Amino acid sequence: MEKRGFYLYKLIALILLVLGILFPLLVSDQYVIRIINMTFIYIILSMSLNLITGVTGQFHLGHAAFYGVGAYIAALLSVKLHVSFLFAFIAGGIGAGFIGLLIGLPTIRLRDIYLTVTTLGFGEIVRLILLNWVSVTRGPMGIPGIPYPEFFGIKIMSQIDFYYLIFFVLILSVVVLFRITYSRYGDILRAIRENELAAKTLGINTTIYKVTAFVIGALFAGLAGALFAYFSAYISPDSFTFAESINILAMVVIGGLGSMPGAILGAVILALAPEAFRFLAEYRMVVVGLLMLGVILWRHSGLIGEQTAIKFMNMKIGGK
Amino acid sequence: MFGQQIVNGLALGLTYSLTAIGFTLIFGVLGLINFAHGEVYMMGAFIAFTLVAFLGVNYFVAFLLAIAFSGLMGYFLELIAFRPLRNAIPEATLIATLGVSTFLKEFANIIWGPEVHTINTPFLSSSFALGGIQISVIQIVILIVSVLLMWGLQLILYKTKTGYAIRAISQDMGASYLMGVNVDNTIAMTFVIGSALGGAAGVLMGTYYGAFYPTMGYMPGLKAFVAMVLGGLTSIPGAVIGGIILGISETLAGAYISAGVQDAISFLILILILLFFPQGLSGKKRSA
Amino acid sequence: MKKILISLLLFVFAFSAYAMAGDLYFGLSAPLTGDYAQYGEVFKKGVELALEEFNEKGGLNGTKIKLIAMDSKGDPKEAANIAQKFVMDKRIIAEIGDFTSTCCLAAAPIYQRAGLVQLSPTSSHPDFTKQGDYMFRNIVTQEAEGPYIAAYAYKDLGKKRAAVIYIQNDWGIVAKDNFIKGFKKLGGTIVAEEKFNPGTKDYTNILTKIKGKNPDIIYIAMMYSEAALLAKQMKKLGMDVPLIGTGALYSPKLIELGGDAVEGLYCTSSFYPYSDNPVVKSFVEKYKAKYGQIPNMFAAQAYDAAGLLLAALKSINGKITRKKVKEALEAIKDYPGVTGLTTFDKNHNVKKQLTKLVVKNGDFVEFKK
Repeated sequence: MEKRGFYLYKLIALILLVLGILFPLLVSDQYVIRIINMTFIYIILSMSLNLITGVTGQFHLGHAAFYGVGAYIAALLSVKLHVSFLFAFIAGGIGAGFIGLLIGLPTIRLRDIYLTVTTLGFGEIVRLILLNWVSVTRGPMGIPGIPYPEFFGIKIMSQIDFYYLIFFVLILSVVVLFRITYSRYGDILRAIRENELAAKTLGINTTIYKVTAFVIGALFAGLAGALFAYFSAYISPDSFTFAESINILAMVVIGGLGSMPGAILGAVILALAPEAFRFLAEYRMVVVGLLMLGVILWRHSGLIGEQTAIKFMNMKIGGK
Repeated sequence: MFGQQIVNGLALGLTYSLTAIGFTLIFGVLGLINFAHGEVYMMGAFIAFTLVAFLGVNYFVAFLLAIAFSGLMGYFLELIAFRPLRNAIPEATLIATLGVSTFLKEFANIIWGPEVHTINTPFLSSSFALGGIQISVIQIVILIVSVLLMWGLQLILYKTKTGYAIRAISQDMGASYLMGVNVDNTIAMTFVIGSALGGAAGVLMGTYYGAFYPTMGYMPGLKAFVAMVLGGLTSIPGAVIGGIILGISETLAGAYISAGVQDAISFLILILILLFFPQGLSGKKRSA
Repeated sequence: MKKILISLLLFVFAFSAYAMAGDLYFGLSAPLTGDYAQYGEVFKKGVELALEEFNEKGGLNGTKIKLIAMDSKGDPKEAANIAQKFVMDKRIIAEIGDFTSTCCLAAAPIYQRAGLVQLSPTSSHPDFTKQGDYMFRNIVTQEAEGPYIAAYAYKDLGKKRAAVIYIQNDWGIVAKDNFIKGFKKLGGTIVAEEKFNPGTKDYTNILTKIKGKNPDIIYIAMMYSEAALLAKQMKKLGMDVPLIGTGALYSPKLIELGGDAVEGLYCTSSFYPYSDNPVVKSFVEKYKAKYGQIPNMFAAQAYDAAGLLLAALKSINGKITRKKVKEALEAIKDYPGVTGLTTFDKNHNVKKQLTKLVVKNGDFVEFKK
């Protein structure tokens, strides 16, 4: 029987889950935990961009805008209106999702490089609004003093508390995005990417699929932004630049465009590498640049390409 | 006042156009974004700066040497970041050029230091009044150089065999190969020319603003990309016009609304134009 | 498998940064790469020079004080990472930096929670020292410098109509607000107020706009490298209005970049390299011998930041702890730095004597009426 046996990826996921839960018990260094927390946030970002750019093939250069909108909505709600963490967190996601709808709509008319440059422009417009709408966002002064998250009587304060909060959101995002990516819906998105006309002929309303992919991707980026705002307790427009969009894109591409395990691995590498090379001081970005070039020359479709990922997902242990 | 603002905008726009010419040429042949173009621009500028400031080379000679050097860089850029990835997805090339771009920026940071440098060009930076409007000599030089480059490039593209080959490849690489076009050499040649143009732009911009620094290529690279898209991707005169539109709209937005939102306004104009002309201003239907 | 291997490898790299124990360390968080690298670089130079001098004189009873410098890229997130790394590293007894206020603010909660002194040589954001009692700055706040410059323009130079151009960052906004407040209080008029986004280098449109308003002086809240570009563009536009600004303009580089376009520019500075003060003279000489250039305001600020911490260390009796460093820093009275006598007030801000400078014949000279 083909169906028997246990999927390898499930085993790996289980091991990673257990490792993730035990991690703070094994490593007590607050710095390492902080870096891991940031890495988890990046994983959510890169997975969400992977849905838009990898799976649906919409080359998107403004992901930091979603991330920033989520962060600012959560920060402003909690600092100015003192709303609860859960509300601000969800509002951050929904707000970003709404911006995703705005950016997703031009996909109806624009494609390829024209769409790319539009997303770039949207990203910059959002950043410039954050920077210049001083009466609301405090502009370049940023928003300090974002309170500790509190829900159901639990107060998140230490790095380890944040670790479990972010880890929980990460697991949730992985499960939801995994379900989306490897489902019929995901298959349709991939069909649109490969041949939109053919997809249309099959009666698929491609517009709705493309726009919803943008909205879902933006929603998760917004949630990541809200987490980041609470985690860092201070945000400013400096964190949501075009360079950050490119950084997230690089994670997706290096990991493997269209592949979820790839997006995760890419985020892990590109979030850790600048930290790992920190001792090189002014030389470290030279190494990071070379690393990026090296990886992509070595594996053209990323470390775990889409095909590899799908093969990997079908690997089984035991049974036959 | 308004006249002066138009001249300001035109001058700014021409600086974008100048960078966009090389960018567009390279994009045209492979349909790929070259994120390292801004860094080739920066390296060209720094070579000229080093020759003039440290070795006392004549400015014009340094300009030509910097162009030659940038052309050479273009050759190696293609060899390292484009040729091995020719059959890969376009995003792979994008990340490869991003890697090169990051490397070059920080390499320059280490070699020349992060400080802003300048060279003294009293004649080029002098200005004169024309009917109440101030115009500087270097603005005229940039105008002339842009027109010459645009014209020269059109000559190359439409009157020489190499140009013919470049256009053939941008239409259909496989068919060109079958027709006996030396694809590798032609693409390399395109990169040499495009990067040389990028270097030329870098030197002129460094001189125009009187500022040479490692991150100087970042913004112009971005604006060149936008100008190219505005102009319809493959058309060089289109890119020049796209750059000018960008420059004038930014300047006027800054002058009559606020300089804080000038970039936002120019991007807004870009998005509006694209919504009405989804293929750019002078673009023909083309599947990239 | 590969995933685990790679991440293991990365962690090995990460920890190899930890050196041998024994000496005491200062941590420096500064932008060594990216857009602000030119300021981070002189931070490092200034601090290294101060430590070198200190260690040559025998250090702290034989214990050498060393530096761990880390690159924040001007990115708040990275500054926070560095902060976490520093507070975990028990050998680090105090931190210097960061350059930008946004980086300082992002890192402040971490330093505060762990109880490690964060002394920024340049952060002038009003919120910075409000983040906790471990935050210090040794730069004059704009609340003090703004009105001082306003008086320089209004009283000393007799200017009544000022235009204002400022960079849209936290420092620029605070600087221009304080200047405007001071200038209006004296009876002056602000004829125009224009901002530009960081990274902009073409100011011709706002200059043309200001030209139409006929100011008799232009106050510029920006760094010296931007000011040089602006001055040159003014000259090309045929504008002949004097410029005035803060200590951020004081750098020999301003004149190198601006040439004769910056002739007649006014600024104030807490640091003036040609001063007769022997402390300043010796600093300038040593800096020149070591790096081949005259120090600018940022180098001097960083040098003093390190000097203040070293003075605090010396005053500590018994075992040195992070808490004692903070208390010793609070207790410092009139530390004779190259940027003037320094004492921290109860909010951990400083007051300093400012010098009025003007560019004359291609050099900064003291302004005399």
